[in-house]
Amino acid sequence: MELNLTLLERVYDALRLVIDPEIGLDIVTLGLVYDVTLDGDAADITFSLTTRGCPMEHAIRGGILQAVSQVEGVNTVRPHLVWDPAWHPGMVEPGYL
Amino acid sequence: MSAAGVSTASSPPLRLPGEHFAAGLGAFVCGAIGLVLVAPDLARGAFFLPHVVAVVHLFTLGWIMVSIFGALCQFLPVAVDRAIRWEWLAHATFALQVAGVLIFVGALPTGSARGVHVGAATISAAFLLFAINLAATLAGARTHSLTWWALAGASLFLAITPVFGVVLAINLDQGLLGAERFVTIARHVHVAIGGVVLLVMVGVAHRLLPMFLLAHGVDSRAGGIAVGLLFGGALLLAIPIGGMVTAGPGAILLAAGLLAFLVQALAFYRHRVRRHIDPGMRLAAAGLIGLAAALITAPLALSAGLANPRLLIAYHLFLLGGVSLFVAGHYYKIVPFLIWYHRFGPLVGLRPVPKVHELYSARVASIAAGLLIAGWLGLVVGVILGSPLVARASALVFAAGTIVEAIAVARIAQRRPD
Repeated sequence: MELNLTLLERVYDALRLVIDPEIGLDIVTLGLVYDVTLDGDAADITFSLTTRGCPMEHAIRGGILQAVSQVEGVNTVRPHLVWDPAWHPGMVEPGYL
Repeated sequence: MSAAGVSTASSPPLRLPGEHFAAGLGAFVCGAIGLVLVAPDLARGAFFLPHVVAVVHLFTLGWIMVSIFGALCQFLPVAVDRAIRWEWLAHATFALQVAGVLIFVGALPTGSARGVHVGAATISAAFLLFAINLAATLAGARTHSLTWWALAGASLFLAITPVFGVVLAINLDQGLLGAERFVTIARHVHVAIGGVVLLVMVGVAHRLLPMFLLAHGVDSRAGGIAVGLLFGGALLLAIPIGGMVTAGPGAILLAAGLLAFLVQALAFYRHRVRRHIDPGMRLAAAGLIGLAAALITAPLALSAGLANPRLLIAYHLFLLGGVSLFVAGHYYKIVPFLIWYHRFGPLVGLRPVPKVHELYSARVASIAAGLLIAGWLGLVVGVILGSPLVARASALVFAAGTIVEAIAVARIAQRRPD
């Protein structure tokens, strides 16, 4: 459990490398990462985008894959895009906008 | 992501929008230098002069329309989930447009009727081909959003606008329009601005302003109303018969459409979550204020007509200046993001990458914006006062602004990962 928690923290840290270049914040701070679950050496990343049908999907998905793949102990990364709940600016960590 | 407002997996290669933006900025600078030369004429109320017409078209055809074509090539996948239908045709259209503008603008001051005709025909071909490409792209879209309807309307007027231009070009040496020339010019200007430029602005703003300003959940009914009114107004003005029966209601609908667009844009700005407005969005806001000024002066200027040429010129300066600043502001949003997307995007997740606003100096962008706005307002004041000196000095300030912006954007284009 302690190992998983540490790994979880490292996955979240890695996800902070994935930014929205226009807003200038990473996807964790933006509140776009809804959930991260670890199953052995596999990481499932549930995320959303600020706009439905957002065309940056492939770039963000690619960024998630590249970032989390770098984390020691993770061999499989599975990003899952969801639209429910819909993202809104209130999901951004306080004080960043 | 908000930044995705301008790029997708099906985005064209950087070269396609890039060549448009480079040529557009070149025309912006050349137009501004031309403005320095013709500013005293404007202050004297003379605007039917060939070299003045040439400068006006450097702005409208070279700066505004080339920028719009480039932006649409990039924006269509975002707007309608379809890449531009024929990328090769977009390159060909670009080449025709640039060649046509060079021939047309070069021929006007020299009095070459043949050059004017060839230039007008070449530009018309570019407009028509782009309209076909745009319509074919829109035809493949699965959903018909407000943006889709706005762009569909614009594609129709892209095909109609050049007809007026060709007629006016032929009229230059054959005089077939007689006393109808002024009315035809007025129809030409307003079909082009209302039916093409403003419709594109409404459609693009509907997608991009909420993203750039982080203004989510804003009621967009005003934008929908704007599309309907602008389309109806431009359609009535495009009917070359009926005199005031079509022109009057057409002008009123266009004005109401512009008002609805301004109401919509104001709602986006007012409901933004990010309180800080970057230089690009500040410049775009200045452009919207310019359009509001055009809306206010339009009834007086157009009803006075040739009886008050300086007021008429001031109105057109508000109108074209407003559009120009709106477009210039978006260069600070679109170009940095394109460079980021193509050069830094592949590194996301592997290493820290710069943010879009870190690709340019906000201070330099603010200086450029200040020069553009001050020069533009000074030019309007110079024209209203009838002062050639104030007009020329202001045009110089405006030209300096275009040069600083062009340098700033060129430096953005050179940014690469270390």
